[in-house]
Amino acid sequence: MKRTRNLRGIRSRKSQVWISDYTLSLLLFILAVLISIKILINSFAVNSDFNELKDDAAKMSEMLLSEGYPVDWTNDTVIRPGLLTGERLDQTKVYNAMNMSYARLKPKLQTKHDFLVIFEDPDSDMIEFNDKCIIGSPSVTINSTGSAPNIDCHNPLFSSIDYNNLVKLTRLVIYNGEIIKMVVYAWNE
Amino acid sequence: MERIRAINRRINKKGFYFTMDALFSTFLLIGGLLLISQYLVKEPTTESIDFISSDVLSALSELRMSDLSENNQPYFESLKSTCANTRNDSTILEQIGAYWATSSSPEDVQANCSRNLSNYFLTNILPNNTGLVLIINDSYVLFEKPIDKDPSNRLVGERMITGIEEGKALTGSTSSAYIKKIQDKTTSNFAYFGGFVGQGKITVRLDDLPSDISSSNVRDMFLEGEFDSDFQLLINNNFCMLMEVDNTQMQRFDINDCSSLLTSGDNTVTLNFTEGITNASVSGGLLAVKYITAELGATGASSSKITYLPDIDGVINLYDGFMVPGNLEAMNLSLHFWAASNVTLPLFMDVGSTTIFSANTTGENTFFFDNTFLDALLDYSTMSNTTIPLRIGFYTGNTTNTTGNISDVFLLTSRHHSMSNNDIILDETNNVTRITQVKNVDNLFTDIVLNGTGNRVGLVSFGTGASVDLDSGLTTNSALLHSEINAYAPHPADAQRYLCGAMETAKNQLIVNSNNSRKRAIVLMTDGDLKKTTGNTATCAFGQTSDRSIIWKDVVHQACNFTDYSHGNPYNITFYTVAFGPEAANDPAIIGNLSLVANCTGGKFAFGTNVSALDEIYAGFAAELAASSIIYTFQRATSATSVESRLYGDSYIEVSYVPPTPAVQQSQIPITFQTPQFGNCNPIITIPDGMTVIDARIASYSGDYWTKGLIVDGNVIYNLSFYADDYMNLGDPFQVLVPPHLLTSGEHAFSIALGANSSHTAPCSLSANDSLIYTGLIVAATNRTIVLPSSNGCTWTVESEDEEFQSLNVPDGYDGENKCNYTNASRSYTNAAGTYNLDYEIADDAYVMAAFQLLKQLDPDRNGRVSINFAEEDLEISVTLITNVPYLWGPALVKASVWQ
Repeated sequence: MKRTRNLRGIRSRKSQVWISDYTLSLLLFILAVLISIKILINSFAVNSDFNELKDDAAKMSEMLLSEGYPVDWTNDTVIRPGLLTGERLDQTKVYNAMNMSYARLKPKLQTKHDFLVIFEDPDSDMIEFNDKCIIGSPSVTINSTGSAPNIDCHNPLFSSIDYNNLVKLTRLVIYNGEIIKMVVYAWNE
Repeated sequence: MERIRAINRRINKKGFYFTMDALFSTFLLIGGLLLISQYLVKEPTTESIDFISSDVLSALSELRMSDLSENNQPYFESLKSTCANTRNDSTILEQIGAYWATSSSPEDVQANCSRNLSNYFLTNILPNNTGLVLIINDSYVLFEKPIDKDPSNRLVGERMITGIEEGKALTGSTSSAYIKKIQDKTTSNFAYFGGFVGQGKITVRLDDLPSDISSSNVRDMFLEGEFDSDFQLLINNNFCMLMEVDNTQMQRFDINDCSSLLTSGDNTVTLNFTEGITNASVSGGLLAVKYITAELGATGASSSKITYLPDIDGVINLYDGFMVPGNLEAMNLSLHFWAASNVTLPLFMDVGSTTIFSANTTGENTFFFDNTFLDALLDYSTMSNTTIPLRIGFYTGNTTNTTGNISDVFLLTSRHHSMSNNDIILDETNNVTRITQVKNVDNLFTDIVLNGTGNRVGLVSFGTGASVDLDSGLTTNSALLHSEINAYAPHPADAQRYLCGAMETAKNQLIVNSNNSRKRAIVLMTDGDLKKTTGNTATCAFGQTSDRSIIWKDVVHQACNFTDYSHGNPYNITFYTVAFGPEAANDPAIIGNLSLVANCTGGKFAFGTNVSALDEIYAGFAAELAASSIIYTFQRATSATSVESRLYGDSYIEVSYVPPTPAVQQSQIPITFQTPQFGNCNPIITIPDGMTVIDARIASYSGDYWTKGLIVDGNVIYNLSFYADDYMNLGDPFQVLVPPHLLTSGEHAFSIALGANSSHTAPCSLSANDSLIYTGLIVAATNRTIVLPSSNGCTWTVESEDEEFQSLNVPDGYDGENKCNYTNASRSYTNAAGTYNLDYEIADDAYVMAAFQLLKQLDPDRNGRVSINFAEEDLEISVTLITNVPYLWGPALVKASVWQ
């Protein structure tokens, strides 16, 4: 008789274990499904942003590697700030763009993302244009030595900004009879 | 029990494990998902290489060697000294391609140069994690930057470079040739005789010979045609030679010996037939002069054309035509002719089937028909770009041979001693002797009578002693008659005037040598009484007598018997009598008896004492004896009596038209050609390549028929039946226009038809001697040659159409070893490397190819003989030779392949 009770007890407890297992598993499964759905949704959303960022960088680079409009634009007349004159980088236009405020330049390049444009020689050293060496966001710290007008820029430090996606686009352009790199950074937060 | 507890413990532990497993799994899953989501949500920093390949190629295409020269002069100089074909104005990509193209192996200097230059510009410009290969034509790596990782993505940009090809030269030379001047251009001029030109002495124009024409410049001169009898050929009225004719066929005579008679500008060609009018004609023909000249020539498409009519001195009988080589806008016509006073038939002129002129007008006349007049008569729209028949002649009177207007006449002339008297009045102060005047009028009479076709004249003289002289039987040979007449001399003594005997001699000749179908007449004269001053005079019926009345009675009796049937002498001989000079004219007995003679025979009597009166008397008698009639057999007047006339060679037809062909350009030379004789009436004619025909005509021999049709490539060019079915009053052009625009380069089918009317067609073989005469423009300058590696020049040997060889240095002053030939035997170029057959191969020398092209253009029939003879200074290669001309090789394809 006692054995029978024990068996009942065992059966009774066994049943409880399975129920709790089942309940816990169900909860975990539901949680996993929810997290997966969220990841999927999140994943698509993030890819779209990234591609948009990438396209924006390409678009900005194309715009910058044009003569702009008007072709002899100044900061007062500029509608589209292209940096070339006759397929070659125009120092004056670059300097004008570097002197343009970021807030004004951003809509001219028709981008909603933050960006930074620098020029590098074949040795990957940043090229200075008078006392300037970047076009775009002033938020990015530039590793440099010296000070204007004898500043020597080395490289940008993106640790100084917070971003979700960062795209780097390298273009080649002719400047002073050489091929140099124009590097476009674009990011979102 | 223990076992149960053990079971329970195991059961409890199992539940614990499951829970813990689930928890761990959940944490791991969540952690993994978070990591994944973190990775996906926040992209790592990415470097895009989308533009690298295109940027590399664009930059290399934009950068120039001059940039390199400015930025790194030492490097540029080292390239220049090391690498061939280093050019300051090339782009870097072109220069890299040029080095590659001129390399002979992947490891030679040029190949290294291409790699070196690529490295110079491309090293270090790429992001670190980016690889690049620059490759040309998928075969040769110009630059490579490998990375350790396998390519995850690869982007390829391409750019073409024109003008380079592996192993080929980059630049060469191009040249063009033109003729600066021509010393000896071979060309031809022609004088044409119409379809039927007659009848008599015929003169046509040979116009526009160049200023440097001379016998030494004439290469060939010939006369061809269908001539009816022997004739003298005169050039510019100077005797050339006597032509012996076989009138059964077309003949060609070599008349090169007459070339010295030619003069620059306009010339005349005269055919002076030796036989009578009926055989004095030409049924189509031409005189050709092939010559060399230094004149380039300025002929070509004009807007007006004057066609001069032939000069016909005899009987006007012209079957011809004129060409309108464009759209007819206006025309004028001038007709200048003369008709003898005894011509009674009307002269007419038909253009097409329209009679422009018809009148019975004698003497010399000029009629001018202006455009207003002609436009009202003619339909210009049907007269464009074709040949218009032209007919000038006399309307036929009686069309049979039984008109009685063909005369046989004997001239009886006194040669009595008294004929030496100088009492024929010439003018107020001068006289001529009777014998002089009688010879004049006898010659005049003879000419007039013999001008009527078929008429014959005989001569008898008396007063020469006891008898009479038969100086000439009946003949048409005017030369013989003139010779006899001119030999007349007075008898030295007072011989008897045996007039009756002279009449008898003439009668007997007429009886024997003439017949009733012909008009028979005797013209007799006497300058004095028949009675001899001393002694008797012989009579026909009364013996010797000194009785004047008997002597004259005998004359009258004999004369009347000749005519009067009642007297038994039905010979129908008419007497025309003349009391010649003051002695006879003032003697009533002589006048009376001569009048009786004339009256009883139906003739006429007249007397005259001065030159003009006697001329008029004899001319009048002659004209009466040769009254007008003409009979045509097809085109030929087989009988023409008293239609002496002349069409003057200054008669013309002027047409104004819109020319269909462009004018000769400065760089074009007009040259005239004549094809070989067709051999039949359906020839195939080939127009040489590169020739623009501006004038063309068929020379159509039609004999006694008409050229009735010409078809070229199925196009009806000429159709005589358009004007009438009966061709008798239609012209027959010898030259039939072929519209030049039809004669493009290549083969053309011709078809020529002859006939007597619209329903008759003559045998095809009659057109065997026809030919095409055309003027073509040859371009005397070449386009630039293709780009060729060298421009050295050559010494040419050139053969001309007259098989002469000349040496030419091209360019002028060339003294190298290269030898070239443009001859019938060979078109070749030989240099140190070998021999080119220029017919099939392109030489590597720009001068050679330019000169060869020019010579080829000047050789339209491609027989290896140029139509122009050059002197050394006359062919000059343009000094606008261009060197360093890029070749149009390629394009070569440069690929930039980028990957990360």
